Amino acid sequence: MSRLIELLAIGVSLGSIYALIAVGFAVIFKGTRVVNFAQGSLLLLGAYVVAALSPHTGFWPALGIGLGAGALGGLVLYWLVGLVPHGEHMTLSILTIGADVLLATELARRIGSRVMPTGDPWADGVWRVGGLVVPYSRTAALLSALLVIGLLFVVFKRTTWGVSWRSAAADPEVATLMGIRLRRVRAASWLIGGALATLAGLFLVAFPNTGVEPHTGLLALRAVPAVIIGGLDSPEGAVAGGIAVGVTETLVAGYADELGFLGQGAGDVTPYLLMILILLWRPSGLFGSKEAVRV
Amino acid sequence: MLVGGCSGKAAEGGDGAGGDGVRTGPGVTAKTIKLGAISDLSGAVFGPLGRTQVQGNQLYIDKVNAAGGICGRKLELVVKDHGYDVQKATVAFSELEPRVLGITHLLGSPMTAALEPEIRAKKLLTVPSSFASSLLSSEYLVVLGSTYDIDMINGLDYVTTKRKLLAKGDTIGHIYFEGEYGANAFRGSSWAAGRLGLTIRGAQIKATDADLTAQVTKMKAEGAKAILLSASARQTASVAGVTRSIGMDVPILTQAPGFDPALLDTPVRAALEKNLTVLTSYAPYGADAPGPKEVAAAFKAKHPDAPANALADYGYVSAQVLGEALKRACAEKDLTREGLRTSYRKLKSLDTGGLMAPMDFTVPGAPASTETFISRVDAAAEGGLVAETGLYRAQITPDYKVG
Amino acid sequence: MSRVMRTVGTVAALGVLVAMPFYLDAFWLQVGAFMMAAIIGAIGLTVLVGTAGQLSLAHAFFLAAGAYGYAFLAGEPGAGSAGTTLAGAGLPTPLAALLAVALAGGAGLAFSPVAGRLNGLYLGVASLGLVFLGQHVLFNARPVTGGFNGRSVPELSVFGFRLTGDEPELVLLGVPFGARERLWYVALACAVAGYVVAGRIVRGRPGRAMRLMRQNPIAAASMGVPLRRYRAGAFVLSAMYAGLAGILIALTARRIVPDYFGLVLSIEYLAMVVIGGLGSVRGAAVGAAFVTGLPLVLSHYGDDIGFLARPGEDGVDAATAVRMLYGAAIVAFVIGSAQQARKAQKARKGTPNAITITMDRARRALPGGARRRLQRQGR
Repeated sequence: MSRLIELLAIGVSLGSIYALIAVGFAVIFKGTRVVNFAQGSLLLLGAYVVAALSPHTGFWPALGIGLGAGALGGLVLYWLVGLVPHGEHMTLSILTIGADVLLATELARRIGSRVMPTGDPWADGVWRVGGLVVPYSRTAALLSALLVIGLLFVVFKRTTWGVSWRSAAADPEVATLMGIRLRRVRAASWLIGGALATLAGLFLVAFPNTGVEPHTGLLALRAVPAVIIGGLDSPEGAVAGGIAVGVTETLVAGYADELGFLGQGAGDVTPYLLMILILLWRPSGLFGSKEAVRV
Repeated sequence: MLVGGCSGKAAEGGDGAGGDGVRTGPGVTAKTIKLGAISDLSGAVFGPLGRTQVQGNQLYIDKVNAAGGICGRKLELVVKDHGYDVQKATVAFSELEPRVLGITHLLGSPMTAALEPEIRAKKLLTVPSSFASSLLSSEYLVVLGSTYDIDMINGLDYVTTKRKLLAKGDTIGHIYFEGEYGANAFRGSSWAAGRLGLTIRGAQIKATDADLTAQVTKMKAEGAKAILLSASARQTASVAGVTRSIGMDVPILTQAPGFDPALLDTPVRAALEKNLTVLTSYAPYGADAPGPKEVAAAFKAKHPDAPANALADYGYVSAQVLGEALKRACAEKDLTREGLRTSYRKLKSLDTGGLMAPMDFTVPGAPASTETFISRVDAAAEGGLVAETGLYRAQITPDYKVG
Repeated sequence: MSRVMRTVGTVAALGVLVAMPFYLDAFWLQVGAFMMAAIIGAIGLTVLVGTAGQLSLAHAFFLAAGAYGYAFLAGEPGAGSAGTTLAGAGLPTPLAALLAVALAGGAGLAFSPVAGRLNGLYLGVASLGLVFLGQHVLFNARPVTGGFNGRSVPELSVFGFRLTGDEPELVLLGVPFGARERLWYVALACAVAGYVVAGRIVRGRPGRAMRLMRQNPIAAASMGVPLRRYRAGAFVLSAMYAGLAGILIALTARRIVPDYFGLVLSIEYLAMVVIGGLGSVRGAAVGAAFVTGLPLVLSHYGDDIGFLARPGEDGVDAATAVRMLYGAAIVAFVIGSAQQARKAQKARKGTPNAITITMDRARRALPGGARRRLQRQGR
């Protein structure tokens, strides 16, 4: 029993990082209908900037600049995507693949064989609650995820800007006719998505990991089932999806012996299995908006 | 006729003889001997490791050329990148194969597996960047030094019988990669555990698994007294960090791919210095022997900004083995591929100046050495490792059958 | 272009392709074979994604089904690498190839109920799950797949004549015809056949029905298009193309490993069909040649580019530069072709219909500021 609780705690804390990555995906998708395959490189970019600067400026200023760098990266992608007028969403998504290759290659070259710690204040500290061990960094990740998502939620639901964002996401044509500036709304989506990527990257490389490596960006892929389970266009769903994926992965890996029939390394693929099952049950994910039938 | 006449492909000679009466094969001219390397230079996961090994290859070739080359010919290294993609590796191989006499460095076990039939068909002597004993059965693959399984046996025996950190009846955990590296190491550790009276629990992981909290806590729950790790450096970092944070103060044994000096700039340094033992078949960087000292000096002169890493030593020896075989083949006046292979099979007690254990390649199917360098972490040392003992061979090792 | 001119052009192009093995060396022949395999796979995907409008990222899975299906069905049981024991059906190789294509098609059929329930990007990402699950099976079903180290691929042969091997020895016009030369023709024949068949399907009745289904499923259904059957049919067809491509890739590479059939491969195929223009068979062929060939060819010439560092030395080396060029090429290609399409569209200026007339009226009714803003956005 204690083992189960322990695994659940690890799973939730891991899931909170997936949630942060997933929210970035979801915000960009909801605002612009583009699946940003470059999210992994944005994440690497942000984390790299934080790690490169923190020995000189200290952690918090570095984090600020890193968030800015991630947001700027998002803006550059927005600009690139804007060069394809009226492109199909799939074409735009492919464009981000090209951008991802470019950015990831350059960052990998810069990082080389180094492992760059971000110098975060949580270091390798852990909570111990009744035999349960949870790293500070993961707690911070969970709290940040909840805070950021709560904030986004409030902004989207309560502010004028949020209303225009949502209406632009729901129906760009009508929103334009209503005088909403699509460009700003879309740029904001990329901006937020990029900054979220940095935040996710920061926690991803924090303890129990050691630092930024050239392939840190690949880990962003783990969040894909999370986004889908929650619903591609639902930032709230992304949180649920992230935690569901984290918990599933950890439980299957933790009970690998009992689940031997699934094959070695089943922990990595069960999120995808879960994703397909959930999609069969709810074709737009748990919280995604159903696509209206066009006549 | 017209078609055939225009085509340059029709005329391709077989083996020829140089003016000096030496029979030559592909890649050999009167002035040069070309050797190839197929590596990952652009990929994110193995790129940096591949680069260092190729640099090591080049150090040896530079040294040989400065001394006048081999057989009156300069050595030349042709490098191709596969970016850790099997298809690109296949193409790189067919591009490289007609131009070179042998391959000093082939990185990636999926690539090695994919190219092995071709290597055999073309009789191209190749040094894969792997210590898996499963490769020993292939006549044209040169596996240097001791293999992963033997390193594990030696290491486990060392901590049990010499350091007395483990006793009969203890449980140990082994976290290992899928693929031949992990499978090979786990085979060795399981055998050694059986002989030493230990209970072993395995957990297989993927190369992309970065957070091993679930596996480590499971091993703690099972009462593991030591953790063996056949993975890469990032997993070592994760295990060191997690064990420390959950108060699991046990020895961690890892192998060549599981350590990277870059880890010493990270917060887990203290944990590594306290608990990590590294089992390698090559000496730590800059170790106190003529070979490592020479390579370290040359490496620093040529790549002043590159981080010190013992993989340069390994790359150096990879090229050196082919170089020694070439010298022998030259003496036999046979610089063909078969000539290179027969000469390589005559290398007995090859001395590398302490870079690796003395190696014997005369017995097909047997590892070139059964001795392991056992090192511990010291951040003050360049390259991060210092020797814990000299070369170590466990008493039980000779009983083990590689497979 | 007149019909005669086009026929002459096609015959000339085919003639050049047939003559190639007399001139090209092993490297180029292999690049060519990989390209042709990719062309077949990409054609299958463009029919599914472009014509039938079903986004799929599962292509790597179906490629693997073909490749491993062939290797298993044609392979003899025996010892594999790293102590595995391989099973194999030992069937005659052409039969094994046919069955492997059918197997891939069957996998497509099995997935089509899932596809029937999902729309757009959800389908895309769900199919992505198939790739991961498939790779998991490839790693674990060792007797069939050989596990991590994969299994080697038997050569295709008819009555003892190796279509993709070196035996019996064959010399044509003074050029030795070994495995790579023969494989070129096998791949070429498959690619041409695949191209022609797909062209007929897309231009013919099924293609029209699928396009209508993509644009307006309800209209399609009311006009008597059996949606479910067409959706499943598109998946099966695309999977069979992928299966054939997988077999060719297996025959070219001679050994298949699970590592290859991953997400990156699926994304590459998607890039091929998008670069070529969705739904265009010719575009898919061009895109496939581009995406597969570019990195291989670039790295071939990488050593000759002077300003780059030599491999293994510090600085931007050829391998890194090639990868960057590849990324930049995708970006440039997508942007370039989109802007070209836009220019063409502007030149055509579609005839006004109810929707554009209403939009025009709405625009005129707007206050000045909003109208200018709309104009800036190109609406």
